[in-house]
Amino acid sequence: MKAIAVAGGKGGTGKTFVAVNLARLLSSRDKTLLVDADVENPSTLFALPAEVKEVKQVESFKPLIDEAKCSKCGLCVKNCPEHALVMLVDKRILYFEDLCSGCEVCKLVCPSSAVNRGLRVEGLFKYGSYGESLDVVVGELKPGIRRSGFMITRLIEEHRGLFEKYSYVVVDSPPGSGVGLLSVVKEADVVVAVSEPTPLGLNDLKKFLTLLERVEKRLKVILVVNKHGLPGGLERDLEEEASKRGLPVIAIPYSELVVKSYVERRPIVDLHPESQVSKGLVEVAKLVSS
Amino acid sequence: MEIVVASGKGGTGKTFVAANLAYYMKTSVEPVVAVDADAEAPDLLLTLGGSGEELFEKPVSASRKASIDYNKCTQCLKCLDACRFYALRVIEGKPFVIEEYCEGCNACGIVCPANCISLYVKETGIVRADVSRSGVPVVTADLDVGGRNSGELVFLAKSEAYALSRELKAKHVVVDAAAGIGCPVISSLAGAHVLITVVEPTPPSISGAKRLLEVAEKMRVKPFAVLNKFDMPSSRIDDLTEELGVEVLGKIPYHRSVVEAYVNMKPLLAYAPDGEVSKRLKEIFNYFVESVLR
Repeated sequence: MKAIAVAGGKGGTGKTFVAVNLARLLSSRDKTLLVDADVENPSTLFALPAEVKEVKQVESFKPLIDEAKCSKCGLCVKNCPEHALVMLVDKRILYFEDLCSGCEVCKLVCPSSAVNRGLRVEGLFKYGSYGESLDVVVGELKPGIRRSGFMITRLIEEHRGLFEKYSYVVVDSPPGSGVGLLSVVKEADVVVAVSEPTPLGLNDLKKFLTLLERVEKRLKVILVVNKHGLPGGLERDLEEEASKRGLPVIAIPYSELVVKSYVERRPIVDLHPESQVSKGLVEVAKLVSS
Repeated sequence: MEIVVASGKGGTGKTFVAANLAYYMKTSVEPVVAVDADAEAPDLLLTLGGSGEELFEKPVSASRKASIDYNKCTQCLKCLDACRFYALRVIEGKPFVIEEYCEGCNACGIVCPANCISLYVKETGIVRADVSRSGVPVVTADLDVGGRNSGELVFLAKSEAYALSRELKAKHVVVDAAAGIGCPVISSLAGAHVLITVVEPTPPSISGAKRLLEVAEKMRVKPFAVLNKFDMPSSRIDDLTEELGVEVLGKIPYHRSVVEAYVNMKPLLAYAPDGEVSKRLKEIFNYFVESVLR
């Protein structure tokens, strides 16, 4: 199994676009799984007409306090790391679900076994497929839930066994450079960093590449300069950044066909295989699998 | 008033709208303080010309992590069963803390019979304040790479912005939020009055905006939308007001000068004040300030 993380720092540079097309190209060689880890705003299913076959609720712990058993000792309140439990003057205990991380410390410290296990929904895992050899798993955070990092962790940890069944696992990552992304790139063999030739693209790419230095194992990193040829663009600065670090660079030109393929909800490599955009994507797939 | 510019999907133009709104307010209405709440990829100061004068920089320690004293550890591995966050792993019989997964809840410490687990506080990033070269004061939340708890960092950046706004007698705070709908975005929306959702005419952007609006409704922030890059080729959007159920403040066309302004490190309103995009921006901001903020 080869794991490929598609990331790059800035939002809207084309991560989903590259991930979906890369997965499609790799699936013509061997069994491929596309994982949508952009749990706050998962978009792969807008770009790929995959059929969703199963939806699973992602649940986590919440305390249910048994008033009959509770001795009002307040240990749960004192030990709650998120301050999600509060004791009022009349010793009633209030629970703030939005703050709760589900760590179960309240249950661990309760001397009267008054904390029971309740469940709450934090999001969904969706499972689908497109054609014979491409499957998709999407992690989707429920709006209003803060904890996207943990959704990503669960998406990875709870599907390790599934990943092993594929030759390629392509992970569409969230924007940024935080902990959620770190947990994705740590699992990868190859990182495809997608950027765009703007000062913002460059700035965020640098921060993202610094993140990669924190990963101890050897990673193969490929820079994709998407929207290449954007009027007034900073292609050269991006290329310099890559050459400083010895990274291969692949340019994908800015093209109307990209938006069109989104509107038609089909990978551009299927719709317009002869386009310059598709040729760039084929280059990415070659580098990834070599 | 606290105005949050957010979008759900990344790359729709949040920073573009936030920077130009802050610049517009500063030049034509009244003093304003801007906040970059996109702590994982902060670009607002850059968009407003970079730092002209640094006001302060404060390190922030917002996360706790578990640490194991191996001299005391009996390798009973009870800590592994207690951890709900996959943050402990066994290597050669010993438990190891996976730092980025650890939430510092101390469940492992509570169950450890050898009392060998303690928590330490980790620096997670900085909050800095600058006056940008274009004259807008900017408070930036900047998360360390791989850092956790950007929501706390955003909360602290907003507190600093409020302190600064009192000092500068600024009536408004403009917050440039992160992409998505998670922790930093929720912290951006907490206590805010108005949300401007920046939407581009693509299905993922509209979906992202809808998810964001659900969060805004829960947090009772009054929502508005602007349609950016509305003339994107082959895009399809009939009626955004109907689609999203919020008032649309206006439509912004795409033009190469937007990228050129970035390259020249100026807000577009300063770089091409008489261009078509600037004209639209001024109409939108004028309406927003006169009809919404008043």
